Amino acid sequence: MKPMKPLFAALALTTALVLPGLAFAKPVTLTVTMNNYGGRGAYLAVYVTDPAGAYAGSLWMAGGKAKYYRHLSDWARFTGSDPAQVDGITGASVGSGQTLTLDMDLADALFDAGYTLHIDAAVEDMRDSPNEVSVPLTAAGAGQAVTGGRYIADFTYGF
Amino acid sequence: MKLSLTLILLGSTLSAGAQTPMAPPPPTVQSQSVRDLGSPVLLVSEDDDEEAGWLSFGDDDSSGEDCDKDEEDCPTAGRGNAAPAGTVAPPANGLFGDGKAPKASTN
Repeated sequence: MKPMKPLFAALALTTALVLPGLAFAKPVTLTVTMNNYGGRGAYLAVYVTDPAGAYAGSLWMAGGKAKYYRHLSDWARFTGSDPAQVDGITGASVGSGQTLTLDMDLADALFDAGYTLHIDAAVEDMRDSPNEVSVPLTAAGAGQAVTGGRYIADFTYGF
Repeated sequence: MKLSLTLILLGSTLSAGAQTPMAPPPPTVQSQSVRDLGSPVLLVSEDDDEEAGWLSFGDDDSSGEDCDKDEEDCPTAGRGNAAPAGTVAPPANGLFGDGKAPKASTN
């Protein structure tokens, strides 16, 4: 048997290392439409809990001032308001009546496995609103609008 | 007659001079006071959304005030703000399939 040429061996190795990551990632779009609540920009924490209800991680933080994170009370309880949880996934707060669209590649393992996506919301001088959205991550749930509570009109995720 | 008028005028002048210490503050002091009173109004009108202090943010806050990062009882004390998207890699929490940061847009 002839030995494999080094170039092919390297190609096979890199393919084996890269493909599993691609195979287990799914492009997902999250869309959050805000009500016309009339206040200033809303802080939103988008995060996931596992089948046991434990915090699994954050997907996005809308709002850059960490000192206000404690008003996102469920997320704050899970994380201790730790800004490191949202390093690299933090953007601007979302204004009244605006729509926030998030495009990301999520692990396939999150879907149809008991994971739940949550959104906490808070607005200056208005009531805090933890867990405004709580939606199981399932393939069947894609494209189905979920009604929010105080500040969020609706939320949708799609592939 | 002229002497009487001169004495009256002189008396009035001295009397007015004696009251000078009781007079209102000089104009420069008044101007400073007006500037001091005006500053907060200017700051409020120039506030943008991110810079405003959320002093009475939400009803679930028993203290009614927000904390600064240098306060001891502040949960974010000693920790800065989160790094904005695009400046560092997203957290390795296993949720992001390829480690790429999400892309956000608002309209």
